[in-house]
Amino acid sequence: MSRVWAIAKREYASFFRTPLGWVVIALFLLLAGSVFAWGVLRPGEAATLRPFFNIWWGLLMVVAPAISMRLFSEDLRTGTIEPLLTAPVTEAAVVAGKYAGSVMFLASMLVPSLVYAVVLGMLTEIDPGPIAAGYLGILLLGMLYLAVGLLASALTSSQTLAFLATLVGFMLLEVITRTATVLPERVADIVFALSPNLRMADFARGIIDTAHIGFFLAGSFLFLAVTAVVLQSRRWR
Amino acid sequence: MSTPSSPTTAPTPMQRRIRYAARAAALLLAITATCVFVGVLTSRLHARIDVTATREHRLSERTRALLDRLDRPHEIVLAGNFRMLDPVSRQRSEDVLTALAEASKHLRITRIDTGSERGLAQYDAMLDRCVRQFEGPLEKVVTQVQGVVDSLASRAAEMGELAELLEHARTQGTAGDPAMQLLDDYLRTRAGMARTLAEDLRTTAEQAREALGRTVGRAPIPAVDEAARILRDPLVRTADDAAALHRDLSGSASSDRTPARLRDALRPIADAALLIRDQAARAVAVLETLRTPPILSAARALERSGGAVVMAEPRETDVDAASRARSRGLTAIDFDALFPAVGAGEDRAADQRVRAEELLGTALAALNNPDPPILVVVHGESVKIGPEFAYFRALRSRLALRGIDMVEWATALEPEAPVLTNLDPSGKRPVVYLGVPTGAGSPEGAVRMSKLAATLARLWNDGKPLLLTVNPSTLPTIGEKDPMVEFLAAAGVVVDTARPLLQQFRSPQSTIVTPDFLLPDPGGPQPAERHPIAGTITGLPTYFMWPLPIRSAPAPEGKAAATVTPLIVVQNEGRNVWAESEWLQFRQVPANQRSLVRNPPAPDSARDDTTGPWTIAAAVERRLPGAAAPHRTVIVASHAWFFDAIAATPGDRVDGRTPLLAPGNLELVEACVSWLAGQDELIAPSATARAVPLVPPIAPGNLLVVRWLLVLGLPALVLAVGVAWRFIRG
Amino acid sequence: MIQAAHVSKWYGPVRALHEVSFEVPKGQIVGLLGPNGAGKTTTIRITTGFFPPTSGSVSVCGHDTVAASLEARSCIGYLPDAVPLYTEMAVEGYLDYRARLYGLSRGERKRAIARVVERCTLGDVLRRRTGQLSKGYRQRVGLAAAMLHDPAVLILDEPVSGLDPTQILEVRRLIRELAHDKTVLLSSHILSEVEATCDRVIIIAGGTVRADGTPEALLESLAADAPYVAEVRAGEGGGERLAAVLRAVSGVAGVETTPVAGEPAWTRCVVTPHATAPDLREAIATALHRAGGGDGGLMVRELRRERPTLEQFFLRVTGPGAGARAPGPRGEGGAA
Repeated sequence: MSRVWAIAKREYASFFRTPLGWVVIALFLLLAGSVFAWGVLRPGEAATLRPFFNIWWGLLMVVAPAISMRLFSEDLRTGTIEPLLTAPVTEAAVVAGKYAGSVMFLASMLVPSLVYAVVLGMLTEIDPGPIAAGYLGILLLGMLYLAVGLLASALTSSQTLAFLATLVGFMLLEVITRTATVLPERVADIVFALSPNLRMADFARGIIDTAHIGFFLAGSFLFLAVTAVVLQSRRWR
Repeated sequence: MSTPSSPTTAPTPMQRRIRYAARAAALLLAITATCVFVGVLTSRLHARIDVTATREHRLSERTRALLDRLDRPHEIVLAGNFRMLDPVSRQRSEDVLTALAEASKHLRITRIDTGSERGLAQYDAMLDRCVRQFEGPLEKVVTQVQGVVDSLASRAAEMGELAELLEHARTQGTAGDPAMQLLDDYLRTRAGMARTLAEDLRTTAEQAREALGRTVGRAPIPAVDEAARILRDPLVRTADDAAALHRDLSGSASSDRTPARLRDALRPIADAALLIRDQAARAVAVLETLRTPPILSAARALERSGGAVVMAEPRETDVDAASRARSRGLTAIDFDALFPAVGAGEDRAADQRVRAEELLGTALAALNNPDPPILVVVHGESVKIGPEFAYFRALRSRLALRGIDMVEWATALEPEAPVLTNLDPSGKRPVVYLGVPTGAGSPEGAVRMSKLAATLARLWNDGKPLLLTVNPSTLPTIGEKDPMVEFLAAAGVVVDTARPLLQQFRSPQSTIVTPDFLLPDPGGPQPAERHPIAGTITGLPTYFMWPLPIRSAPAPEGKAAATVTPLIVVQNEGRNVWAESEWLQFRQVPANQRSLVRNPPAPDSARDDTTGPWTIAAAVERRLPGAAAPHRTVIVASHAWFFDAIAATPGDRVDGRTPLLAPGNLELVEACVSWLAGQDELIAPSATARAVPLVPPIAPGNLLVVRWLLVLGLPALVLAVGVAWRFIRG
Repeated sequence: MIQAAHVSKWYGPVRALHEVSFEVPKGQIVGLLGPNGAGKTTTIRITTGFFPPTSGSVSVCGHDTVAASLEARSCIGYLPDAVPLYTEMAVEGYLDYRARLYGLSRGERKRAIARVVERCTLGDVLRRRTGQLSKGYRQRVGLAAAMLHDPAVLILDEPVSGLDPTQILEVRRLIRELAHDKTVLLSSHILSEVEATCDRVIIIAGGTVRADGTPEALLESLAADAPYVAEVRAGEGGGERLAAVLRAVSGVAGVETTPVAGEPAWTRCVVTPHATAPDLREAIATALHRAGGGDGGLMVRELRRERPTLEQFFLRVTGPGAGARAPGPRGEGGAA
């Protein structure tokens, strides 16, 4: 565990050692802030952060691959992959550590946005439940996206390719979900069940459904496991 | 020399690779299977925790109380083409249905997707089943209508004969005699009319037969409502014509100025006309008192786009056919109401889930309500509107689905209230009165209006529940009191019928003044004190023409004041609404020419009222001595707002569906009737009626500052921290 | 401690290693010597478990690097070529990070870091970012990091490349010190380095092992046919006669004579002996003396045997035409 934590801590700190990490956070807050300022802060309308959360799934689709694309690619580029993979750590620990570091970075990105909720709370009575649920949903969604991005990063040493592949993958899934109504009902139901964004909508409304939590956690775990297996296969391929 | 760890038979590199690959693949498979299993497991056994403060996602107290009261099996059948529905909207409503089914063991939910072959077959089977349950009453109705259709042939024949008799009578002394010119013309015209009418009746019979041959959607029910509608007008005309003929001819037949031979000829014609009138009137009466079973309205609701059919089995304790027939219930909610098209901005549109819950809950409650109210439409027109209530058909069918019957009281023709025993044998059904104003332009109209006003005043003073709708009136401007609202002053309620509200829209080219008010979200006090009626229409657009302000005034000495709760308030944010005192000329301009008026009314006179806001709808409660329950009244100070022309106007197309322009209007009537009948639990609050905190108003200057501060400030702060960090770290 | 058996590695169609086998016993410093591109780094990477061999196997401390990768890695301290470090991290932080990766507990970490810092004299640069250090210091940091978990085996890829002479001496001293209780495998393309540092040398070129043994043993194989060099006053044009005289000496395989530049009277002779011939200096001197007629006619002013160098050996075995050799048991040199 200490190994995982060491890798996670290092990965997390590395985001902040270059301008990249700060710029990503600033950009994210700029976008999210705009949504809040013009979409939520409208006098006379319902005081809810729902449009805020609803826009975030779109933002995450772009931001998460941007965070995850460098997780392995950076190490491959600088050669630090060698000491990492020749140290007596299991691939699972490496994957877990890098993942944890990126999730911590995602959380760091989300924390400043709590200011918006506070601002809204100062203006009027707000219902903290749906806000907490919304953030939970965003976090879970982000965790899933990061897990997918981590796999992409491990499969290619090109950061750009990892980023694009992940982004395109998410957009494709979204398109399929939207058009699934033309499919036979059983298939359409499966497509809907696999869509992360539909599930996110429930969190935004203030419903915490253990089915969704299970989906996101199981899904993340799946991609992490695949990444670990892919990584481990280097040893015998 | 050999490597220490190799076995006696070393595997080839390829073998080793395959072995590792197989192991990895097996591991992957196991992990995937586990994840999928966990995913499926959590979706089967899951807990949905509602963390909203208002618990808006669980079934409401009201619904749960309703479900607890169910004492016999109910079934909700959702039938329609599910493909056409928005998946999110559908999912939400599915949540409701699941929650309902889980909450009561008396409730069963069935889904029929008419988009598939099998679904269609199931749909037809369900319709068959429902129709069979109401076989008796349906047959009776069909027979009655069929009888009327058949009778048309006789009436047509009789009319034809009448025409001949009239022609013949002309030869008996009117033709060629200049003194009898008038009569001759009359006879000739009448003969022609009779022949035309006979033709009409034959055509009508054809059309009615065709209608009876058609079904209502896919339900095997003959379209008796259509047939009845087709039959009524010609029969009424026949009765009226025949009555007029009888009157005129009787008069001529007993006049001395008529030659005797002519008189002998005219008398039998008059008698024949009377007979025809009686027959026709009887036929009309049959049509007017048709008791169509609810399956008919339900089938109509379903035929357009599908809907939810809510059915109640008869009680086990109902052993005789009559009470079984009474307690068997069926009602329908069409898909447009259950799955409304989600318009712009998901947070603006009411949460479908809650709406669906309320609709279904109300339907269940209505089915289990043994005493649905009766709505008596009190008007002052000189002719009867008829049981179809042609001007507000949409309202009628909507109320019919709740079991609420509408009855007409034409005060100009009938001084006494209509008899309701056939609708309400036990006398337990609450009776609510709806006052509809009449035009007082002509002297005859003024007489009718005062009769109407007197009736309404009497009802009100007797403590009857009243929903009053009001027209602007010129009487106050000439110093007289408007009798239509005068009786309310006794309780301190004043309706300013002299000054209707107008609003103006300025453009660089012109100023457009209109008395039409489309209120997207009728305001009212904050949720906690919200009147249940106001709660129903929150978030639903309403439409009123020529609304009038309602005010509270101190009650006269000795009289108890009433509690007046505003339901709909018109704000004057943009300073372009005012109460106009010189409106008469403007009102006389046809609506489509109003924009062309060169000098439209403006808020100029000292008698105009430019300060808002104005209450245009209010609920009034007062205590009458000796009465157990408070006396309830609702005043909606506008006219014809529940008529089809306004309430059933379609709005803009959204997502392939065409919702109503002002769905709040009909909701308002329903809510008023339930409230006036004292059946508050049947009022379905609007989905957004739950406590929704609003963003308070912020001065535009401050708003701008706050916005830009947030948008740019946070990122700048982050970057600053980053720079500082790097600085510190060296 | 390290045993490689028939290791081959193909990168697609390119063969990088072919049937490489060697052994590194406990406590030895072994140098992998070879020109650039010979396959040294590939061999090292396979040994550290970075990637697997296409065929054959390597085991470290008794653990196969593929089948028991984790155990093998636990007993290896590896310093890769070009010492990749996280440039933004401070030295202290980096060492702590690596210590955690090795799974050391907090107390163990503190002790280990103190130990390696002392041994590699990193005390002055603990707070500096690794990206700001000179190459020498970076090397020491890398080495320190590799030693944190006190591994039984140290594997160093080009440990002195890019260092100045002072730094080289430092590192060399360090390695010799470490070898007291550890087994070291290092690779280099610098001959003198390997010669100075290692107990044993494995020469690798073109993906195959060309020689494997201690420097002395290897040189011995060369020593057998080391030539003799003599400078004789044979007069102008006396080269031929001289050659004939020398060829007559028993044990001589070949003679080459060249006039000394600027001194035509003197001739330089290079005498190549048979491999089995004994020390021929006496015989040559006698032959020259006799040829001179006994009155000192053929004066000899230099007679010595050339010492063979490792460089010669190296060039010999890695030159064109030289093929792979099957290694003998326990690293003894075979016949050339």
